[in-house]
Amino acid sequence: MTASSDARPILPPDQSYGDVTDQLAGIPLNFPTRRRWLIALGLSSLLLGLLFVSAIVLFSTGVGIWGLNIPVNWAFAIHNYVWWLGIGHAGTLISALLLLLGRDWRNSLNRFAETMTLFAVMCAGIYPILHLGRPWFVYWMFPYPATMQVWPQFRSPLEWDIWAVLTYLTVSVVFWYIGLVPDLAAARDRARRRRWQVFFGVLALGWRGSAMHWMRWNQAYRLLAALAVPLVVSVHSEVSLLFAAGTIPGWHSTIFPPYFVLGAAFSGFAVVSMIAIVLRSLFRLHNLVTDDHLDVLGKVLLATGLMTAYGYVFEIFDTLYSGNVHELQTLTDRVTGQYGWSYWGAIVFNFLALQPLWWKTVRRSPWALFAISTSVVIGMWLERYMILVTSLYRDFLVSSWGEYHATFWDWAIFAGTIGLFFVPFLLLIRLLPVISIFETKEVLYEEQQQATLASPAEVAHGRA
Amino acid sequence: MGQIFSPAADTWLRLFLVTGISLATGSIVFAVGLARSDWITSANMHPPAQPAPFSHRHHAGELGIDCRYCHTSVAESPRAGLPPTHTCMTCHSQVWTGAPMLAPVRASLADNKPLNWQRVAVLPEYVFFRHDIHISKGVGCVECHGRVDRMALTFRAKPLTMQFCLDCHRDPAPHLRPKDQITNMAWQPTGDRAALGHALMRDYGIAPERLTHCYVCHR
Amino acid sequence: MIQADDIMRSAAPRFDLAQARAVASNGSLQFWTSIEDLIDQDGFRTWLAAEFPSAAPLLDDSSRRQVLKLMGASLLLAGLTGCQDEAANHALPYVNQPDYAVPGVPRHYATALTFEGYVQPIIAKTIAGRPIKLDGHPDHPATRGGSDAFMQAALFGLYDPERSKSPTYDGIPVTWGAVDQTLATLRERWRNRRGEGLRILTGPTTSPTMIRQMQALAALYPQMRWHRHAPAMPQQQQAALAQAFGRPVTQHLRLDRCAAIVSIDDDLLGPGPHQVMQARAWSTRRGEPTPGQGRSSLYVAEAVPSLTGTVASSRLPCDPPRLGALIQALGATFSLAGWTAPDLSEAESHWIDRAVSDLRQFPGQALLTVGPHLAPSWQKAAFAINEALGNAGETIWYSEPLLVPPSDTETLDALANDIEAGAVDTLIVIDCDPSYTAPTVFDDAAMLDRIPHRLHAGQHADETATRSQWHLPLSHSLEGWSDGRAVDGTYSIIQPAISPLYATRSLHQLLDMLAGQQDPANDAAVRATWRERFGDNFDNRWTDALHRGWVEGKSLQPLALKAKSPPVPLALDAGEDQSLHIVFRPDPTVWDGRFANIAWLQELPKPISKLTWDNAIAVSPALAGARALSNGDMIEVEIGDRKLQGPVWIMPGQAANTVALAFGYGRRNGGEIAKSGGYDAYAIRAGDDVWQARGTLARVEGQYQLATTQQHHRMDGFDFVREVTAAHPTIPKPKDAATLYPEWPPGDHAWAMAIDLDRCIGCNACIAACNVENNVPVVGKDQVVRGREMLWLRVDRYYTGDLGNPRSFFQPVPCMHCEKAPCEMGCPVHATVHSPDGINQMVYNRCIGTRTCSSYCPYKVRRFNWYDYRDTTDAGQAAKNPDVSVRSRGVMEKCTYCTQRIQAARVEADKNNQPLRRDEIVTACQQACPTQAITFGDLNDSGSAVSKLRRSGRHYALLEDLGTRPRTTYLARWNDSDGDVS
Repeated sequence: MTASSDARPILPPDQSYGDVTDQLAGIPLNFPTRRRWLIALGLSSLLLGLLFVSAIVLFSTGVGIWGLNIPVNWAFAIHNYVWWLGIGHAGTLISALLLLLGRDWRNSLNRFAETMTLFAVMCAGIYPILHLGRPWFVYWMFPYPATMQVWPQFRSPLEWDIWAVLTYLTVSVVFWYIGLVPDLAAARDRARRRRWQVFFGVLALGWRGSAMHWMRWNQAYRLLAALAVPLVVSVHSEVSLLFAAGTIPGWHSTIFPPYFVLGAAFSGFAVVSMIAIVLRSLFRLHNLVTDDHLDVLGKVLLATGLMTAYGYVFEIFDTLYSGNVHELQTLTDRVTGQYGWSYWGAIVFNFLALQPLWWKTVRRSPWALFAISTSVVIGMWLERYMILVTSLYRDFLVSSWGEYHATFWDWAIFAGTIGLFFVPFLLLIRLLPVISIFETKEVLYEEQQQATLASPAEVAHGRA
Repeated sequence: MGQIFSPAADTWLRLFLVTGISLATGSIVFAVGLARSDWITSANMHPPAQPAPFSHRHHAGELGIDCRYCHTSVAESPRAGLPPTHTCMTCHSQVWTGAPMLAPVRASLADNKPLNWQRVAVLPEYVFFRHDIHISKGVGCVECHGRVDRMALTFRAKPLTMQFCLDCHRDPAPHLRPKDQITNMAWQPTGDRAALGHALMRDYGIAPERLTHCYVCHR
Repeated sequence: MIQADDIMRSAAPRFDLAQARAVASNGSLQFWTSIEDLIDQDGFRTWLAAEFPSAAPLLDDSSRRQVLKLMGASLLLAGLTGCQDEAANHALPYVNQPDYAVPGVPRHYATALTFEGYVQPIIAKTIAGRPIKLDGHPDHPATRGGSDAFMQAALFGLYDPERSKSPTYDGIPVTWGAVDQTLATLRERWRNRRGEGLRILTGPTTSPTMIRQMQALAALYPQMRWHRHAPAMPQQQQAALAQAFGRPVTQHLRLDRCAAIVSIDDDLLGPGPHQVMQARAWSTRRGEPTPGQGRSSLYVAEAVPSLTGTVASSRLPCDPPRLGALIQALGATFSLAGWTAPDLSEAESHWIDRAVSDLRQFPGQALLTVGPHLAPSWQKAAFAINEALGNAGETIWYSEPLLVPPSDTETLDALANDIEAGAVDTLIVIDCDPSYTAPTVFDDAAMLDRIPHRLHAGQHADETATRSQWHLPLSHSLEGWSDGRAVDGTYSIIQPAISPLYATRSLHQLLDMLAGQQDPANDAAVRATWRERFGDNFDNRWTDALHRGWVEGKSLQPLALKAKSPPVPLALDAGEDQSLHIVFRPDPTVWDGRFANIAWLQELPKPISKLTWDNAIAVSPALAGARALSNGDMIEVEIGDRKLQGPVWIMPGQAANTVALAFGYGRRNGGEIAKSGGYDAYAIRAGDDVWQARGTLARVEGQYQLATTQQHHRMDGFDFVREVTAAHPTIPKPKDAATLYPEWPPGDHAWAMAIDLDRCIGCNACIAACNVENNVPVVGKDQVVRGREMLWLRVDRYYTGDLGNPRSFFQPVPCMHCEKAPCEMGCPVHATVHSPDGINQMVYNRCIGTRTCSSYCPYKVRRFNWYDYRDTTDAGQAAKNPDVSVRSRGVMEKCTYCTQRIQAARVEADKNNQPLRRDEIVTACQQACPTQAITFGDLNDSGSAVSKLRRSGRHYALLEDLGTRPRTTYLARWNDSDGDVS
């Protein structure tokens, strides 16, 4: 593997491979903090139940139960879809991109980042179906030899959407699973009870860690990584076209693809940091997810945040530069209109709240970072809302201007998806190593190699 | 530690994967096929129960009564029209006057209640089919209704799927015939079918490019 | 009564009466269909013969039953998604097919509706025996095929499930047999008293048959008195005419001859029986090829914004007294004896100067009109001035009266006094609802109850019905025979387009019954009248009249009359009185309340406020500002000791101190929909014929949710509606924007629509016609509040400039059918695509409801079925157009250029290999438009009407610079205000 470029060790070297494996593989095998985990699972299950109830009501009575109307006929469903999908970008970005770039610090984060990605994308994935007027015909969006002899329309951004998201989901799953295999094997070997042995054994696909295995694994893993990275970009660019393709003022802009991708990464990293902080305190992983990790996350957060801010600036510039009367109208509506709170909310939570990250101490303090990440997640939610609603509620003709007010069911389904995210996530935490064991050891090894050059004594200590 | 799995485990796993994949693909193929099958299109299925066991074979085939004798409005109306009870009785007041199988018909005339027929060639309510234009463009009854003159009890002979309609709307030539042969179930073209078809398309002024957009059939 | 009561009860059971009553009282056509079900049960027919002697023959009449059968059958075949598959597989042929009937081919009847006593000539389109569309009679001399919203919606009056279905006594369904018995006893009584105490109250009428029948009754019962009552039709003008000319006459306007019209609060183009004719006449003059050529300038001074005011060249809002001042000024200018000029404000004198100069400039081609609700003395001034200017006989002429005005002893007030005096023994109210429309005439509502015998005949169990012992169901105009005269005096004979759906009687049958006939035939009375009038050539002329739709050669002769010089008007009050001016107006969509139970009209946006489902109290922006009122605030209006509460609506352009109330709402009976909303303006209207009063206004607690289809009306800064002026008569052509998309391959036709904004008076006829033609559902107030109205065609209303007196505009907006349609590229499943003839198609059965098309649509003309809005009641389905799908839940819908009409025409032409005739295809909106503002046709044909309009200098496209290349385009409005309005 590529050697870590920075000399400073990111993991405390005074720990042996054995310790690491025991610690991580031990988490599922004899699980700590059962009570808190159960409580969390219970709460998320309630939300999930709410999702089912709302979905039943929705399908039986129609999308009329939402606050939609003409002109605002897209709102919560679409904007939460974009929001979830955005969050679902960090995992793949972190593990794939940073893997290719050889940033070793990702090794402590990529596992749960990827896991998080899967379920975020899942949450996003159900929205396009929920929001259909006649969901039972969703299969018409797929090209199959129908007796109608009508095919999907491939010019439509929604059509691209389906493909982009499904591809992204598939690749993410495979990538996540392949990365998991060696650890599953490790867990299998650590397992004492038959049930666990079989469980991990089947999933490990008979991994023995032979040189040949490692070689194949390496090829597959890097190949998928190379696939995943462009996907991250393409998926959200495509999602942005859902809007940019419309002639509506506030949507019809070329800045949308990069604007959306960066926003996505931004929110994604925020969620990763939040999860990292929670997990490390829950499972006492301070030795693996170190303050240095938080520091790096903080920096990335700041960087992506600033790029998103650039997007805001450029949107305004765009409008002013075009001088188009309708675009200007929309801009004023966004800033001063009835939904101004969503615009200013985005600015405050996404930009102002970010500034403390310039200071190292803030970045290294779990509480501060957690708070800022939370604000970013909220901010991005507001931003998506702003982009959607403030463009639609007042488009061209004054006569067709309208309003949008979210109803109980809008909120119910949104809350429901949060449950849909956490239930499986908590289950996987329970069942699988939350941090990549072997990759951590890899980093450890490399750092210790470098340390050897510094002072043999420490190495001896480390090997003990 | 002991072995977790038997040596056969690998085989089982592979087998499991293979069957899984083939099942998935298989079900898709099955669904696509099913959509075209008689089970779904209900073509060539058992004839539905009718108030009276009317036989097209006897009336149209053996007796050679022209379709338009009963389906009067087929040429001037979107709907071919079912014969009023009175039409049946024009003959059956003379022949088979006492036949038990005609009791419902007589009853209908007596107490002035229409016969409640089961429709056989029924289209979805969002399809606006017009008989008149098809007749005037030389599409024979048999094209959609099949050899009715051979049906003891009437059943749907063609799938009547959108594909079925489009095939003809895209390439009408093979389905056209001289106007005097419209109701002739047994008509066979003499000579070059294609040539005749295209000649008729010219005569009738049929332009397929105008026949395939949605509003032709859906509104 | 008691006696009749016993008869009724004794005639009862033998058969489960309760069941039949349940049947009789439950929804819509169920009544008959259920009877079909009951029919085989033992004893039913015998029971029916006893209980429903009139219904029994109907049941046996085969044609009657075929109508019902076919109604059922055709509903099943009609493509109603409401019907279940199982049902859709049944087919019910005729038993005896009438020669004329071709299954699936519509039949058209020339007939007419009656409205405020006049007939509205129509062509009724029926399929399988049920009317599905009404349109103006294209050849009729008065309307020339124009419609108004009321005419279009009359269909839903016919299918109203809450119509009275059988006679009731004290609210209990009874039989016509019982009614006959009662009438027998009553007739005896009247004859003995020589009709003393017998009073009949009806609306106004022009029907020769009715007049003949009333005379017959008068002959039978000499002391009988016939009162007339029309709450929404002012009497002042009638009075003024009678006084000015010494005899009752009717005035007729020839707006098509007017180069200049000066209207003092006269809503010439507004809703009412004269709308279609006058709008048509005005637009023929106004809409000459290039406006200004056929110059027709319109000066309007009015208290409340009206359609006429909206299209006026120069509009002046002023409070009622100032209207008087203006008339006085005119009187002085045209030197009426003794008239002196009052002092006018700057705006007023400026307006007068322009008006006067135009009146002078076009002697014999100008017209001064005064609102028919204004004081007779003012009216008389107008007659005199028109005479002085030589307009009399040219733009205005007088004829024998069409509606015979009630003499002083025949008014509603007279009736009230008599009741008070106890002089009334029997009151028969026919198609008229005084206890709702004139509560203040009677000292207390219970006053009616003092009359020993009270009969009410009408289509609904309304307020008066509930105060009468007997309620007799009347047939709908489309169900019964009748006759009458159009506003231009032409006679029409009204033939039924469908036999009565329920056990109802026509007006004339009822009158014959009062005269003592047993079970008169539906057409007997009318035939009798015309046999008299046609003489020996009856049969030919009768058939001819029915075919033609009106009676040849019966038109009015102008009378040569001189107007007496008008009296000097009373001095205007100096205006110390700080109270407000409360004015009353009929509602533009439910009129005087008679249409209140028609959901389609309730949801039709009021032309100017765009309100639905309610009436509001309109106040001027100034007043609202002074009292800190905003839309929806509840206020209390007080006139004398009478009060009412209602929500505020701020009406730009309303006179500062004027408060406008609208009739027709706050119903207490007459149907669930009728009762649904609004306040009752009659409650504080003093007397039967009062149109304005002084009163006060106070804010009270609470807010009221008003449902409007347009929240923003100010157009400043945009150019949606464009204008041309004499100085700049053409609109600069846009330079052809380059596009990356390929051109559409040229089809055999290129459908397009052009809408002339200079002709549009915003009357709603097009919307109403579109709703009926295309099965557009009614969604209800709560959905409208959420912005989910389903109108395919909306008439946007904008204003610019000063709120006090803005310049107002109407702009009908259907689907633009863009050549480069943004919606089309958004749909993932090809549910909205382009047709070779240039129509932007919406395929409901392919739509999965992603709503992308609507998100992308710059004009927001698409509508979505958020819930299942289908009306699955039998009545609701009976009114449906079988050529148009009824859209199910979750699909998008929009204007299709009436594609069903295009397809039908193409098929007809195609059947004989003929090309379509030029301008053959007419869309529903175009057909209905009384001013011919809408033109539809083929762009490939350079000679077609729409192609010509597209070459006009006033032609422009909405949101042109988006490059959507709309096929629906506009002709700019002609601004001849000469800049005296912003």
